[in-house]
Amino acid sequence: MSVLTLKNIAKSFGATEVIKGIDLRIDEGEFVVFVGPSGCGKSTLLRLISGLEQADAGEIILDSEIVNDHTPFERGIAMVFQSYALYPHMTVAENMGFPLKMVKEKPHAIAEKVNAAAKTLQIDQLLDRRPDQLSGGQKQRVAMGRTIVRDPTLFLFDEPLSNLDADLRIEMRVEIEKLHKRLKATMIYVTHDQVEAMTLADRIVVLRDGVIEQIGAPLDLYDNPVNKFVASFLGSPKINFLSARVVDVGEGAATLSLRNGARFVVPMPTGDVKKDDALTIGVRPEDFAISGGDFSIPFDLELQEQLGPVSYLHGSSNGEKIVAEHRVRGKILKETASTLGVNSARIHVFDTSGRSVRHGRKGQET
Amino acid sequence: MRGQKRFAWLMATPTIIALIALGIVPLGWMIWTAFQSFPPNPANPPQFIGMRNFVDLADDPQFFGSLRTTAIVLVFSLSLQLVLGFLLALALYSIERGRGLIVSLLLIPTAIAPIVAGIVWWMLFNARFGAINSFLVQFFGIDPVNWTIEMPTALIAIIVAVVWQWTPFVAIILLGGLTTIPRDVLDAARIDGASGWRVLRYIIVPLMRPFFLVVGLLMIIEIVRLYELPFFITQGGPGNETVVAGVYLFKLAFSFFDLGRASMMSVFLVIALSLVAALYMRLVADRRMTVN
Repeated sequence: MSVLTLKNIAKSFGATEVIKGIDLRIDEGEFVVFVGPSGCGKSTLLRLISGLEQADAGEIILDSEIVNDHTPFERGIAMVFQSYALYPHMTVAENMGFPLKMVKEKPHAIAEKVNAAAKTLQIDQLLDRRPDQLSGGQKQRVAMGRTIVRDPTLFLFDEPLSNLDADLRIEMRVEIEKLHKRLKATMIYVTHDQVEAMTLADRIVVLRDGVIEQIGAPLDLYDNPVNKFVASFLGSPKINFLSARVVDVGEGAATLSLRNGARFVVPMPTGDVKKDDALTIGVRPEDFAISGGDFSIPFDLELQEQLGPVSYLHGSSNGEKIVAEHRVRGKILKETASTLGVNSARIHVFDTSGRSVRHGRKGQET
Repeated sequence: MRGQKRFAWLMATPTIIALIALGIVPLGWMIWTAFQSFPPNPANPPQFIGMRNFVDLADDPQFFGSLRTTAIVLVFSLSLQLVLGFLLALALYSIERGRGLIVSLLLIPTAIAPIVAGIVWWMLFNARFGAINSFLVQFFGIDPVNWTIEMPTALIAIIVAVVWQWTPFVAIILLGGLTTIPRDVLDAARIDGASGWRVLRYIIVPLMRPFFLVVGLLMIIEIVRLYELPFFITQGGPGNETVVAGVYLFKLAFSFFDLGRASMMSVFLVIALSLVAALYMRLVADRRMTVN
């Protein structure tokens, strides 16, 4: 178990700046998930931490030691890859025992540790097989087994579940959670899947274009996104954005008006907005209701997706696309859903630059 | 179903005919001639003489000498080609820019006709005006070496030329092999504590086995049927010391006009080549690995 500190880490590939001065501290035993769209630099950041890539600037500190010049192995890091990265010419037992063989452990000690790890991961009956004789899920278990036999200081996971089918993903996600609980190890997990991020993380780090947009606990980020990007990245279906305008500014609150003329008052720090400012409000699909709310918007229902206990209503309001969650079973009539109610306490407000102006900054903005 | 089968046979027929005409008929004819004696007068028909050609070969010290020379050239050339080719492939693998251009240039020796390469190397190794001697005299002050007319330098000259001509080809096949190793696997090995040398030993070399197997087999075939390079560099000399199997075969057929014995030697070489190839496969192939 280790504390990892990143100080002003930067990395470029040729003229492309991929990581632009990242500061981050990950505490002992913490499970931190890096999320972001493709090309945001999350995998590069993980490779910098692992030592597979060298940082151009900044310091990588494990506990109190600067490890920039340490090899991946010297850092005491274990890593699980998206492609599993098993050695195709070795058996499962040889794959799992390879890191121990590299430190010249005695064969019986290697066998003992491999057997123990294999039992934990329920792959003890597969030890004599080669990777090409395993299913995707089994391969991922072997890859995890290879990491735990070493007793590493830090676990890194690079999109480990991306190649698995939906059922296996859920199963392996639970396995990783259990592993974290049992080992109490510091773990960093890279994914573009926000469900994995929300379910696994103690803290989520949202990255975009090589910078951290926001760091925080999953629900904190969900409820208090610092900008439109974070708001839209977390949550499925995505948050809805509607254009609004400030019609009146009072003490600690502002009155906004939507395209359809609906007006509502939202608490807002005084001085953050002024009359006639153009804003965007964000409403999560679950914060719409067929009836109720402080104000309502017209809704033109186009499609209802029924998923069993919940259905998603796809449509538009004054030309702006809307997806609303409806927690009642059965088909809903277009006329019944001609308006959607909104609770103003649940909405997010963003200025023209995309920055949140409605909520206090509970999440850490960087 | 029956119609489908007939259609499949119809489609395969041209290939089968070509295979029989170009592969099996000449081989059959070679086996047939191996048991015949060809009279000096071509107007007279060949005579069946049973195993006489085989017995003659078994009594022929030059035949065994040529096999021994071929074996020496094979062992040294193949070893050097695989080692140097692999090192060259590793060097090329680490180059990112301009690799394509270097590969194209490297292929020149392999693309040159062996007869031209033979003449070029004969000139380079020439004791009086050869560039190699000029270089050695000028930079190392060594007396001129009679490369092609003394042993063991004549054999060394042949091996050098063979290695020069085919090593780039070996390197390119092995480079293709290196590029099939997933980057994640190499990264995982580094994370697991394997240093450069141990990544090579435990990961890269075992994963390259199928490529060593294929290129090694190609080189064994190439070296066993070697003819032009030794013929032009040493003409088999000094004495018959550098007469390899291909050169002796040519002599039997076109200097001594003993087509029967030449055919018997060819049959023997085909069998010997199969055995050597089988031995090589046993040495190199990992039974647990499939060649993909």
